[in-house]
Amino acid sequence: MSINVSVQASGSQASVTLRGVLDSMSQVTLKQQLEPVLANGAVTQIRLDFAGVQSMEAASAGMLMMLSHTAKSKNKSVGIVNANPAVLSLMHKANLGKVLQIQ
Amino acid sequence: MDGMGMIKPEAGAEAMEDRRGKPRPEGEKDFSRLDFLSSRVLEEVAVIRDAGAKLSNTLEGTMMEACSLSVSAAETSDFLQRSQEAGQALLASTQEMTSLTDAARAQAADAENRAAEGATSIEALVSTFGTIGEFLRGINKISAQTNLLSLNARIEATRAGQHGAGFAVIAQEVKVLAGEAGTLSANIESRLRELVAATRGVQANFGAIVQAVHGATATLTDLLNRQRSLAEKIGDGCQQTVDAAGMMAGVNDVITRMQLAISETGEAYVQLTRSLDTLTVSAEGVVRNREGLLTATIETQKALT
Repeated sequence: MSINVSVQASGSQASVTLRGVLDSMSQVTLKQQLEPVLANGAVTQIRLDFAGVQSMEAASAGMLMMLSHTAKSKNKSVGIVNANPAVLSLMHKANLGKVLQIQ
Repeated sequence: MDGMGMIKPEAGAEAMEDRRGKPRPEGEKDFSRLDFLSSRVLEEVAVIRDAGAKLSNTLEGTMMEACSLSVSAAETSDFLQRSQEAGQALLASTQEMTSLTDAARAQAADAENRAAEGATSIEALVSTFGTIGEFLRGINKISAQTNLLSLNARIEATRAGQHGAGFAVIAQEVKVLAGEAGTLSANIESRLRELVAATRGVQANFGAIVQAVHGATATLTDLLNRQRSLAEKIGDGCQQTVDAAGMMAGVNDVITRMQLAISETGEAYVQLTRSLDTLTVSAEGVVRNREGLLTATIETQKALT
């Protein structure tokens, strides 16, 4: 199953809405969609809205970790919101909460 | 480099190529050499960038594996936690059952003792019944003798004629009483025999009860020993689960440190990329400013000579 990614940048904040399943295949799509956001110097906060994410693979948490580091090196912070309980549990088990903000 | 910051060519014929197999300039002027070295720096920067990109991909892959491992470890820890809780609940139930079995065994042992005491009491009762039977036989004998005496008394009363009439009436009454006493005694003896037979039946049942309770006590004792052994094994299992949970916590710590190390390596890669950017800009600046640099060098050399 794939993932749909829509990005809305407003001032210093970029809101990224995800829908579908985040796995090894779909995370490539996410990375591609985030490249312009990471390159945008005006953006300092990236908010990933997981409300539409049904499930995710544990390995994708690693991708999100590295994404967070890349963003940090570009003076941007990454936060995750609205993840469902199963996805939230997996994120915490992968120690993702130690690297980026999860709400 | 010499004392003026100029780069000298390698000495000796064996230094025709560098470590990457690139030809070394020979007999060129500083101007060309500077071009060459700047070009080489940019080439090396490109090589480092390629290696860095591979490193970055490897780091991301490693981080992904670390996260998968972290999730597996966390789920294993959860499983161990649940196993530990289930084991402890099982241990508590087993200990409770052991306690109940021990109480049942104690009660069975007490019942066995009481049944044995009951059997002894019945034996004493049967013996008492025998004594009562002897007393009844004594009474029967007395009754028969009394009957005989009353017969003799009536004979003597008859001999006495008119004077013995009253005595004959009394002798007749004694005969009747002796007969009733004999009948009652015979009835009691008959009932006593029935009672003895019934008591013998109760005694036999008591014996069977004693045997059954003894068997139950032995079974409960065996069950108790098995439950204690089971509780010990469950306790050992719980302890092993606790140990495994501790080891998993250690694994989790290692994974967390591994993730931190990957993150730090990623940050170092970013810094490396920035340094390469700076180095590229510097090398390109050197190429752009080579004429001014050479002029300044020549002027400096002239000034020094």
